[in-house]
Amino acid sequence: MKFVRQDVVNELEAGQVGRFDVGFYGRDNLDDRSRHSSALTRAAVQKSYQVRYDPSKFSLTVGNETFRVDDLEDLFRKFRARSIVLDATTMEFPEILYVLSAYRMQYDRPRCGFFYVEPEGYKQRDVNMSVVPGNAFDLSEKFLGNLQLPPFTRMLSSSNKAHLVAFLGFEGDRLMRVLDADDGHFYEKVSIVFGVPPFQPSWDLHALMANSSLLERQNTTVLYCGANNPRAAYMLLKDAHAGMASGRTNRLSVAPFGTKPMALGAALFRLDHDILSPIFDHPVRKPYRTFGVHRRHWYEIDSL
Amino acid sequence: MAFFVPEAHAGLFEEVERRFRLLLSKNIVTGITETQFDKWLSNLLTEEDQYLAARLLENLTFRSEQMVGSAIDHILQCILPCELRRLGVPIPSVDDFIASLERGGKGHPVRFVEVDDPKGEKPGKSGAVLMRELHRLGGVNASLTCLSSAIASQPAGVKCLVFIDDMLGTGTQMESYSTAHNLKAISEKHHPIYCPLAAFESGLAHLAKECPWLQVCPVETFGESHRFFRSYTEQPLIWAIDRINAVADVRAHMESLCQRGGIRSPAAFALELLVGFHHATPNNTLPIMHVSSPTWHNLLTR
Amino acid sequence: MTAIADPFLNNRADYLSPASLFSQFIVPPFFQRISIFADQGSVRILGGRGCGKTMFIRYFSHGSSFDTNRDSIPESELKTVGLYLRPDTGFCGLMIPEWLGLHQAKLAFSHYVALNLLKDACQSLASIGLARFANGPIDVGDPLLSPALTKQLGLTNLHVSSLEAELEVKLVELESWVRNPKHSPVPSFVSFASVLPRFAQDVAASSTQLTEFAFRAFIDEFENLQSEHREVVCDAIKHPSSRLVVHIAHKKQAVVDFKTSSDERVVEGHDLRTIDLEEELSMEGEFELLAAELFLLRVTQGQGKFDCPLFQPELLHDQRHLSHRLSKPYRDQVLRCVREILPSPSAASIAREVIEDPPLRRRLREMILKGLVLQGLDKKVNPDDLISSSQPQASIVMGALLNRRSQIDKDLLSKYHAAVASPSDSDPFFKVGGWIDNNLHGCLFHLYAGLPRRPNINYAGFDRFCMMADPNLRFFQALCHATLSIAYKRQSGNEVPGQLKVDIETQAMAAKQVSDKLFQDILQLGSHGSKLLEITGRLGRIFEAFNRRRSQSEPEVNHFSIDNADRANLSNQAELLLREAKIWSVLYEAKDTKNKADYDIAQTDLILNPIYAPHFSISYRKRRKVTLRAPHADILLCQSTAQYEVVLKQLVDPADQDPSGEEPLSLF
Repeated sequence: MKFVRQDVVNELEAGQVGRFDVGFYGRDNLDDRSRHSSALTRAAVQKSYQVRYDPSKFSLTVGNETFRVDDLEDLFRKFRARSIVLDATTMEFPEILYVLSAYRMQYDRPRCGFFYVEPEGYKQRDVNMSVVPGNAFDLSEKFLGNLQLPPFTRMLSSSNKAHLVAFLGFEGDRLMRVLDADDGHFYEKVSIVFGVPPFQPSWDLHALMANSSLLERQNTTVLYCGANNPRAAYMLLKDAHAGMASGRTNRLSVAPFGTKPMALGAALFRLDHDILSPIFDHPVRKPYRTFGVHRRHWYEIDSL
Repeated sequence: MAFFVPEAHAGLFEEVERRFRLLLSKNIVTGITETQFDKWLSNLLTEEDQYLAARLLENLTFRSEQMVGSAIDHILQCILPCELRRLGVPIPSVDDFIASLERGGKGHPVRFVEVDDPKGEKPGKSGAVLMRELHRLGGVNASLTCLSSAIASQPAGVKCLVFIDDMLGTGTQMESYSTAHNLKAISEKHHPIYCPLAAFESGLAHLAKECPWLQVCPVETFGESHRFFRSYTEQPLIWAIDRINAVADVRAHMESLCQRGGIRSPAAFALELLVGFHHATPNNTLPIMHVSSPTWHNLLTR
Repeated sequence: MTAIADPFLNNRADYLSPASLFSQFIVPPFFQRISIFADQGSVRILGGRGCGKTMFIRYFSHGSSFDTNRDSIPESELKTVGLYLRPDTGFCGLMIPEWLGLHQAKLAFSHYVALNLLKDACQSLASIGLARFANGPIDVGDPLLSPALTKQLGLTNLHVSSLEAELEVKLVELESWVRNPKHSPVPSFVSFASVLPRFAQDVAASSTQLTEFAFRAFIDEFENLQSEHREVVCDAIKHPSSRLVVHIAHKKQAVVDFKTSSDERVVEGHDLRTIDLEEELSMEGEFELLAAELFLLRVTQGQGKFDCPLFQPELLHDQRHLSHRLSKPYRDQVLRCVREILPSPSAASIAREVIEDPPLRRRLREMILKGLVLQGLDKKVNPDDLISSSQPQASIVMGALLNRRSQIDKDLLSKYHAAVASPSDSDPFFKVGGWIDNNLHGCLFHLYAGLPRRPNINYAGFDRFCMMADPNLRFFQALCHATLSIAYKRQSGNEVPGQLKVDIETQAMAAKQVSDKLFQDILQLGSHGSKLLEITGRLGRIFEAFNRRRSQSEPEVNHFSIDNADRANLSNQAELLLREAKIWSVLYEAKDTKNKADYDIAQTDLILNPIYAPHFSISYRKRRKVTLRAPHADILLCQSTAQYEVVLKQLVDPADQDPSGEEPLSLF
């Protein structure tokens, strides 16, 4: 696949990206930008469907149809398209990954476009509560855990350890929870990635502050990737892959806990490279976690 | 009431100092040795000095070499393909564009220009460093870079001249540069795109007014909400950063600190920014961060 | 160059290869006291984070028990060859009924365990081959595998030497199938409970030196296994084989049910013994010794120097030297040495500091003055007359006594002057259980709490570090690391000039720093970290508020309890969060010892982990508690901030509190 474009578009241009066959979106009423982004998506396609992944059942619901994630061929058969648009703002990482991997199985792989809308701001935690750098922003209700995403999950063991590349955001506990649980057992090397350039200046400082305990760890490399540059995320993973010497650390895992464009880059990389094993903690997003609409992005790849 | 350390933030300085050392040790902030940091800290005598310093460090946006590399990626992979297409330059894909930058060649529609100091007083400063980084980190072929003196002699096939700079502050520097190199006339042959890694809103407005033929595409845009002495919106006399001290008191304390150190304090209409690059510090960053005197050690290097 | 503080950071078992674990493990004193695995039967090892659970079980695994640094290994070790499995819980999360179907899920898990344990078993033979046994080396050779085993595993080659490679292939097959069951061939499953004993049998049959060869398998992180998987393990516990014993490790409170696949249950005591690491480590005086030895070991690793001839790092790793380490001369010397490096100020010296230090003295004077005003004595008595440099302790508790609203002793003032003039064991101040005994610590915490920027020396000293960290060695090391980092920065041990010694203020700063950081880290404890953080913050604020009471009528309130009879009234959410808090050692539960017999009036005490005491400037000693009714406890645990604020005001009279430090202790 080739990255065709990674543009910032205004509202007018967003309406002129072209006419695509099928569009997908997620929770579209979460906040201002969710409503806006899903509307842009629906306007660019002939038919659109809401998508929801259920981690407890390993099933993807698209419109009124439900598919188990090992039966995704049925998805593209049901919703044939030569071109698709995904609303990356409202779709979660697993949903993006599964929909794309479904269409990859189609003989004529479709052209893909993605909308992503940055918010004006993120909701801060109420100062009357216990606030520490890791939870300065009030974004998620809880996390459903169970990190594996079949069929992408790989088995780790004493002879198959992993290099974990973690894209980071404002929620300081997400990666720490994974690393704490692992206790250094299977993730032998950890690279943390901060979104620089950030969506807005000083937001990188928030992420840095929220994740500063990670900086105290040993065996932890710090890397950077543009917060709204999926191709950069893709290339970063490519470098990580290239850097894997043979030996015990022979798996590459990714934790897409940063911005959605970074997660998109990770999903696209996974489609091209079987080596990548994504993990995800399924946050239950809080309504009104963001407010306003800042910039709109339109990303396009030529074919899956 | 004078500037004071609010009770709730009594431990802030220790916390920030520790974190800053961590940033230094992990090369997130680069170009500053621990000794240099210790020396800057030794400038601070009272708890109020320390508290003010903690706020300064906390709000410092530092761009290390790696981060600048990421910003260059943003220019090459997001900004330029989009802008070039708007100019009618055919770009089949971002991947193709990047590959073409790596190949270079005379027929390429883009040239990157080293922005130098128009008065020629500081040769080879940021401009040269950025060109090197464009090449080293961005993979841009050397054949696509040129000096300011060569702008006028570019072939007709060059559709676009890209000027990469670190900071756009008030805009007057770029304005002088444009005048010195006659960019307005040149813009009729080759479209100029100016990409500062960081830009301040008022600078953007200034250039929009004075150089409307110059397309400005900053990577990061700073505004009123990033000024160090900004007010808290709900209570305009109060400092936004801690929502406790009065803005006037913060300024007064900064003033007294600067006077004691024999360094200049922020000018009345200064941008009050806290931005540093690994290769240089913009002159509109608060002087307390980078200025030195016989009685004051600097932290950042100008 | 390693800084002297650096070795204190390497405190996770994971970073250590099996080979180096042995030389990092310190045999805890309780090895002398209880039989660890001597009896037959399965054991469960309980412990919270940081008390060394994984390190403990890896110590008993083959990599460590046959470590080449050990000599004269008894051959009896061959009867209990330790295998270690830490399941990839992420991957195991796929071997569940929703993905594979119930029957397949269990078979797949047992197969997963079998393959991994067999791999470790092969490696154990390599360890044994290199080990230095008492009666000379053992030639393991290349045992032939029995027809039964080769058939069960579908092996092509009959020797152990090629088994590991075949196991890797099988793991790949398992992985492919689990990831995508519809599109990969189903492996033929083996059960670990049958395959491991068979393997042991085959090894035993291969050599006369190995006739009693048997395994003990440790399964770590038991609480993170799916319930169906726990059943599979419990089956093996309930029905042990002669050549395989299964032991498990998990956090306390985290597992309540030991169901097997049938109706039987694994019964505590009968089928499964328990070693509670936290309890064992906390036994009287034992944690101090262990902590002191760990401290000296780390300092040695950082090239630091100290004077303690009896301390020898090589003696720490083997149980053989334990009785020497538990002897009085050794213990005394080691503890003295560490107490010299990390001195603890006595309460008396802290009291003296209060009188001699102007801001603290001012604070005491304020406190006494407010008390005099309350008693209507401010016109008659000058507060300075009640501050004595010769008897600072008495002066300090006067601050509290004068602020009591209830009728104070009318002779209080004369008693004070008498005690100051000639203190005796019978006067109300200095007698055992008298006013100083009961109130001094509380007052000291109260006075210091009012000066939050000052290093609070009530937390300084090796002994106090132990009291706050016990039984968590990770916390202890964090305190030491912070202390040495602040004191010596990046200097290595041999660059430190003169005697290694850290002053009290530095230790106090370290305690605060570590406590603050650990408080922040609550956020990442389990899936309810965010709520646990909120609960801890709320509890801390209650205790802070009590501490700020001038009257100190109940000094050192730092834990709460709920009547057992009232417990049933707690909501499910509250119970869940209480349990989470205990699993992650944010709260400890202690049974009320006074009312053991009568269940109804008995209470359950819930103690805030003392490591958080410096963050809230409260006492770490378990002294007084506040009893919460279920509705209040419920609000504290899971209701809104507004409701909590109401409860807070009801519990602690705002008028009694010092107004300083009213802001919630958050950084932003």
